[in-house]
Amino acid sequence: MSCQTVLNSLSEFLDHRLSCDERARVSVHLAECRECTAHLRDLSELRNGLKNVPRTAVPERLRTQLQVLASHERARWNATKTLPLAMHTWAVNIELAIDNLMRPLALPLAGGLASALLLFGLVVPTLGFRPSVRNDVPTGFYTAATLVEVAPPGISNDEAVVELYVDAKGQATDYSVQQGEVSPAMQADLTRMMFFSRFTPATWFGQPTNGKVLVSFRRIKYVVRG
Amino acid sequence: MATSILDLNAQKTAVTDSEDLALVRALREGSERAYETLLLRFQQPVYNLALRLLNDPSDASDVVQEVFLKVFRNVGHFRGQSSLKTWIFRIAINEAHNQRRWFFRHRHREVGIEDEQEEARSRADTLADSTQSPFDYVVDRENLALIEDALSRINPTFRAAVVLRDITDLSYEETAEVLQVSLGTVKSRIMRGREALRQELGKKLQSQPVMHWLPKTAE
Repeated sequence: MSCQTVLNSLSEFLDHRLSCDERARVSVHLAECRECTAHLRDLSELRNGLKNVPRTAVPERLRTQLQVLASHERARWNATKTLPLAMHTWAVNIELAIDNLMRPLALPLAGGLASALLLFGLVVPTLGFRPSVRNDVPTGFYTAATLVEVAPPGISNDEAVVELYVDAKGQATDYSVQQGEVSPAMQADLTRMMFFSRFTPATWFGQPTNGKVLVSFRRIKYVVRG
Repeated sequence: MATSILDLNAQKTAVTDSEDLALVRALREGSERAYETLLLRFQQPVYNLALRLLNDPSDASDVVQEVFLKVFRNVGHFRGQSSLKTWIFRIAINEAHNQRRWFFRHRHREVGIEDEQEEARSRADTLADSTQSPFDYVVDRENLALIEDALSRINPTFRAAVVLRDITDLSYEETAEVLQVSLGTVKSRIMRGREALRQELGKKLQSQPVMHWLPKTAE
C-alpha cells in the first residue's frame, strides 16, 4: 500500500469509516511508515482540538429576539388554524391596513377640503352670472357700453366706421375714425350725433366706467323700378 | 460488540425521531412549550454553526433569526423524511451561504461599531475554571485560537463539512444530508478540509518564534 493511498484514507481511518480489511492494511502500513504515522498524529490532534473548540454562548439580545419571534409566529400560526379564526384575522389585517393607509391621509385630506371650500367661497362672488331678470344691473366683470338711442342721420353721403368714446355718465366725449374718410359735413353730423344720442356706460364689477362704442355709417340706395 | 453499539445507535435514532415527530406535532398545534423546547434545543448549535461559518457574531445572529423564522413558518411542510436536526441545519447552511454571498456583494467594506464578542460572554465564561492550571489554560486557549483562526481561512465548502463533522458532531450520513451532497463528496470534503487545516496550522506554527526552555541551576 502506497503512502499516498494511506494519506487519503487517514481521515476515514480516524473516524472508523474503513472496512476491516482496509483498516488492517492501513494499520500495517502505519506500523512501518513514520511519516504517515506523524501525519495521523497531526490529524488526530487537530480533530481533538476541533472537538474541544468551546461553544459560544448565544447573546442575550438574540435569545430575547428569538423568544419574541417565536411568540409572534405562534400567534400567527394559531390565528390561521380554523376558517373562522383565519377570516377574523384577515378582517383585522384588512381593517388595520385601511386604517394605516387612511390615518396619514386624514389630516391632509381635511385640510385640503377646507382650503378648497374657503377658496371656492371667496371666488364665487366674483364670478359673473347671467342675470335671470331683465333690466337687472349686471354684476359681471365687465359690460360694454351700448347705444340706446341714436340721433337722426344728417345729409352727408360719406361711409365710415367710427369709434365713440363713452364716459361713465353715458356721454360720448370723443371719436376716432377706424375706416373711411370723414368730410367736414360728416364731422358736423358726427358732432351732432354725439350730443343728441344716448348711451349706456360700460360697467366694471357693476360700477360705471369709460367704454367705447363702434358706429358704422352706410349710404342706402333706394332703387325705384317701374 | 460492534453489533451492540450499532443497535444502541439505532435505538437512540429511533427515540430521537419519535421525539422530533412529537415536537413537530406540538408545534403544529401551536403549543407554547413546543416553541420554547425547539429554541432551547437548537438555538445554541445553530448559532455556533452560523458563527463558525461566517466568523461574525452580528451576521450569525441575523442568520439564526432567519433560520428560526423559516423553521416556524415551514414546520407544517416538514414530512419527517430527515431528522429535525438535519432539516434545521440544512436551512442554517443555506442561510449562511446566502448571507456570505450578500456580504461579498454589499457589506465587505463596512466596519461594525458593536462589540458583540464582549456581549456574547455569559456569566459562566467569566468564572474561574478550577480544573486546569493557568499555564495549561493559556496554552489550550492559544491552541484553540490558532485552530479557530485556521478554520476561518480555509475554503468555506470544506469548512462547512469539517464544522458539521468535527464541531457539531454529525455523522457522515447526516453531514451529507445537511449539505445535500453524496456520501463520497462528504468524505472528500472532510478529508480535504482537515488537510487544509493541518497545512494552515503548520504555516502558523512555523511563522511563530520558537522558545526553548532549558533547565538550569540557580547561581
